[in-house]
Order: sequence, then C-alpha cells, then structure tokens
Amino acid sequence: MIKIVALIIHIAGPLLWGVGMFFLFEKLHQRRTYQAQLLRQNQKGVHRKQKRDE
Amino acid sequence: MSELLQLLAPQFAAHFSGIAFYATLILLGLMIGFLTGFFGVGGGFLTVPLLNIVLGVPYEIAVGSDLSFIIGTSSSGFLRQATLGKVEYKTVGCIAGGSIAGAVVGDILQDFLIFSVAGGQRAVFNSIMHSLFVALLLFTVFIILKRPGQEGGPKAQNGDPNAPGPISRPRLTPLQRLHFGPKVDLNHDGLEQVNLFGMILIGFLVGILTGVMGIGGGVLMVPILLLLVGLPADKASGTSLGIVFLAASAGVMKKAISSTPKISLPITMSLLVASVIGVQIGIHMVQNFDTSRFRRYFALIVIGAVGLILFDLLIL
Repeated sequence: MIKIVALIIHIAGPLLWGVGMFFLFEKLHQRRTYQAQLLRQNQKGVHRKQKRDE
Repeated sequence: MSELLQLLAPQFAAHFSGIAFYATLILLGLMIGFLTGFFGVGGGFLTVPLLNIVLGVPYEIAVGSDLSFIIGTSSSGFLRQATLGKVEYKTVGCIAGGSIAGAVVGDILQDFLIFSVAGGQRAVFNSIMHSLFVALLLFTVFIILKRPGQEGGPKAQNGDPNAPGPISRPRLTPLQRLHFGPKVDLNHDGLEQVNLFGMILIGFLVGILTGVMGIGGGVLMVPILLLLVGLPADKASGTSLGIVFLAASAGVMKKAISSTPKISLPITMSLLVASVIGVQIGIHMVQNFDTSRFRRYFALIVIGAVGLILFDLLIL
C-alpha cells in the first residue's frame, strides 16, 4: 500500500509540475501576444490620427 | 509515515550534505535547463553521471530520479508540441509499446549489473556505468558532428528552382525496406508500409537504455525518428517527447515498486524547479548566438562531460 502511494507521488509530482508549467507559459505567451496586438493596433490608430491632422 | 518518507527520499552517503547538497543540485538543474533551452536537448545523458560524480548520488537513485525528472520535462514539452500539431501519434503508439517493455527490462538488467556482474560492489558498478556513459556520449558526439547527408529528390537546373529534375522514385526509409512482419501506414506523406516490428524493436532497445542509464531519448530517439522512421524534422521532436514520457513513466513505475527505493523526490523536484529557470535563461541567450556553430558548442559540452567521467573513472 505504501509503495503504491510512493509510486503515485513519484509520477504525479513531476507530472503536475510539468503540466502546470505548460499552462503557465501558455498563459504568459497568450498575454504577450495579446499585448503586442494591442500595441500594433494602438500604433495604427496614432498613425491614422497623424494623417488626419496633416 | 517514516517508511513512506524513506521510499520518497532514500538516504545515501553523498559528497555534500544539507544546504550545500541542494545548492549544488539547483546549480545542476539550472545547467540542465539551460542546455534544454539553448540546444533543445533533454540533458538526461548528462544529469545521471553528473549526479553521481558531483554529488555522490548512487547510480540507481540517479537513474530513477532522472526518469522522474524526465516525466516533468517531457510532459510539458509534449503538451506544447501537441497543441502545435507536431506529434505523430501512430509512431508514438508503435515505438512506445516497445520502449515501455524495454524500460522495465532495463531496470531488471540494472539489478543484474549491480548484484550479479558487480557482485554488489559499488565501485565496480560505478565503473560499469561510467564506461557505458562514455560509450554513449562518444556516440552522441559522433551523431552531432556527422554532417547531414544530401537530401534526395530533383535538383534545380541552371539555378531555376522550378526546372524539372530527373525522374526519381520516392526514397524508402530503412524501416520501409524491411519485408517481414506487419506494416503500418503513418499519418504523413511517403510514410506508408512502415515495418511495425522494426519500430517496436527500436523502442525496446532504446527503452532498455532508458531503464539502465536513465537517458530520455532526445539524443537517440530524434535521430532514429529522422533517419530510420523517416519522420520530418518538425514532428520528430514532439513524437520523441511522447515516447520518452511513456518510457520514463514505465521506468519510474518499475523502480518505485522494486525492493530497494530507487527514486528521490527531493532530487527530482529540485532539478525540475531549477531547470524551469535554466530553460528561460537558455531561450533568452540563444537569440544572441550564431546558430551555425550550435553543434560544435554542444559537442564541446559533451566532450567535457566525457572528460569528467574519464577523470573520475581513471584517476579518482
């Protein structure tokens, strides 16, 4: 019984860490992509405004 | 409770103790993570000998802890590649069938090496494992430095990329040329009628190395998938991660239920935590490097590891 518990911990511990890290970095990646998209849209808006003003 | 703790963190005589042990372990994890981020290799072939030589972790515990560490790293990498659609699942299923059995046999073989070949003597077993790692690392250097062969297919004539080349038959991979046993069609153009026994046998042989030496297979499985199975480069890495994950899980299961505890959770988790930081440093640094010299840098690191193992084997 104790060996089974040890086995589950030995597999589940690293697995949870790996899956957790995957989701964390995916989230960070999505956030970075979204921020870059916002920045591009913002810059486009600034250029349009400058053209209109000219 | 104390029995469970003994199973999760077996005691052994190490070169360092307490904070020094874990500080060195974290440095090692950072280095392995850096190699993963920089070169895209798992680093299992360096982790096990370094755990033994630098920290004094017995080889069987180093192998078990490394396999457990591989579960963490490969699961994360596999999920990433799977979301990008870069995994060939049929290949994973066929080769993993062999490598799971191989990892279990590998653990039995490791016990045979410890108790029958080395007669239970730690120094003799260390020498055997050191020799196996030197052979494997030299083979790795050979694979890294060997220049990739010319790709088949029509060549452009007079600099015109659209000019028709000589008519050629599609090249068969070594596993397609085997004529015995059942065949399987993989989900990729040109990879029909691949020999199933060949794939299972390859998985079994690499699985034995996983069980005995704790190497994941990035260093062996990726070249095998490229050269023998014929998978394209963009799918080889993700497919290898899937196979390695299953083989490492089987190895951990076998080692966790063996009579003597062979996996140390504190070692595994310290390596995992440190390697995450190391991977990020590696990814950041790789952007400022000349990628054409990658193979040479990597070969130098592997040769350095061979030197360290030989120093420990012959002088210490």
